[in-house]
Amino acid sequence: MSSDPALPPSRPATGPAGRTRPAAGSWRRAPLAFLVTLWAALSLAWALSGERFLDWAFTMPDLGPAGDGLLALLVRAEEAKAAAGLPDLFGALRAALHHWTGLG
Amino acid sequence: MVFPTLQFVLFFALVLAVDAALGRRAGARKAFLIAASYVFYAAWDARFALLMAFATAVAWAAGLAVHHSRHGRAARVAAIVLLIGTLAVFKYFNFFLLSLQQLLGTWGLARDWGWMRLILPVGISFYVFQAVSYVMDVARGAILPRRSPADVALYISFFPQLVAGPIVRAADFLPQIDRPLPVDAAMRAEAVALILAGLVKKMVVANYLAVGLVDPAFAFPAAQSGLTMATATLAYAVQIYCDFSGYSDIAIGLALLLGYRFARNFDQPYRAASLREFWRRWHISLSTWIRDYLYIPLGGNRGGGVRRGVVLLATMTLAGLWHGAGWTFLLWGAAHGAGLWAERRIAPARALPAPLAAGLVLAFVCLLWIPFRSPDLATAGAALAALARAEGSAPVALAAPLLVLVAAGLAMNWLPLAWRRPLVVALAAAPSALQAGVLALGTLVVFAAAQEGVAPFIYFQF
Repeated sequence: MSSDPALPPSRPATGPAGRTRPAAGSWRRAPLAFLVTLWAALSLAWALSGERFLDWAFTMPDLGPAGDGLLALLVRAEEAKAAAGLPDLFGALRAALHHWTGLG
Repeated sequence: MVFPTLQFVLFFALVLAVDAALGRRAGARKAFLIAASYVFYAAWDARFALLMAFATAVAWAAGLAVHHSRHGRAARVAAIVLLIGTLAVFKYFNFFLLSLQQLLGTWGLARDWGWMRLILPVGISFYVFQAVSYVMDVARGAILPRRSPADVALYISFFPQLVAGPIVRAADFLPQIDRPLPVDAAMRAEAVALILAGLVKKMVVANYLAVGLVDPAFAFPAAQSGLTMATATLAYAVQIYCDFSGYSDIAIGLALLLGYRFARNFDQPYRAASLREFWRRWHISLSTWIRDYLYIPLGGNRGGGVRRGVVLLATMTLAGLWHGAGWTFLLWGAAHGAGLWAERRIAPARALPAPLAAGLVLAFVCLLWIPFRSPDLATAGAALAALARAEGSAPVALAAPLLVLVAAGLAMNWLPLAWRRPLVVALAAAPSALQAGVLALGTLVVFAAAQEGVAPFIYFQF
């Protein structure tokens, strides 16, 4: 099963015969680097934008103690962001792109 | 919770991190992904998570009964009646209520039954079809039933494709639960490319065309000229393609990042040289579902020409009604059925050059998008009438950037797919940190280029 013929083949999805596992350590390190970079980029994007994750977090279903912990963390992060007075670079990028393309 | 929002980005980044932390503990990953999927679904309306759990329980129990019980056939029929009955109640009750109200109104017996109306649970058409597919595949011996209800629960609720497909087959998905793949560089590259392509299609092409051209034209079709209505119709063809195939691309990409592979759902449908080919390229997972579980059981290609035609017409009419309870969807499905029937009778005698045939198919498909897009038959009629009008009283402005988006959306159907290959190959060879950087930066730029606010995907309503 392939999702797109234009894309390079990956390992087959099912069946033990066609599967090749990489060395145990390598497939753990690569996702870690991927995840750390993704979270760093997400944090940076949040810090340099006017977006408030807290607003969305309140629209989520109640997750109990886990949700409370997450909300407390977000409150502290939003307060720190407000105190730092970081510029809204995302808003500036949005305005520039809309102006340049004639859309928006 | 909709894909192209920062809320979902945060949710998915959390899911990805926890899923990776669970590593090869397949049982824990399965339990976590079910929980995440139910949280994702409950973000719309927690009450409907119970409905999904009900569909899961019916499919799981029926799978076991169909395989192990002497009354397997009865169990299969009962399960399908329950599942399709649930879908029918939530999807068509309001339609019949409204039709009955209108009928009584014509006899002077008007009643207000607005309080009886039901809310349509998002994605119900998709997960009910997956549940039916599980029961049918067990009954046919294509798969063995699962003893663990968690397997069936993950198959039905898996959040990347839960609310708008692709409609994944149990035979494709369940083996992947047993042996989840470690996500390698090629899978990540493919996922990043698909997610970014999907975001561009949805947030840039589909959303701008909807707001700038399609919605205003279909809101006042009587004020449009032939040129603006035709352009708006073509723009809607591009909008719905980019909206839905964009969702599918994102869903397939997200699943890949979690180690699951889905088949593609679109294959450049507007380059089809026949209606039959169009349906092999458009919403492939629904087309094949309808073929395997409806068209073939109804008789398929067996019997004479008239019988086959009737089966085709009935199948496509039902496919139209699957999209929504309304005369416009019924007309859309029936007209596609009639077109397919006519094509079978005419095509062998009159083979056209491929570009001309593709142009005719595109024109036919676009014409039928008019009732599909219209809220009622009166609007559809007004839009069709506008096509023949030289001048409109207040036509929508055809802004150059929007026309560029229409052209780009059509070009996506004609460009050789190989143009993307070198980019994805290069991304596959890049370090995983760079892959994540491309995904994050690309997402940020698309979010910035998009309009403010969130436009839901068209297929969420189905």
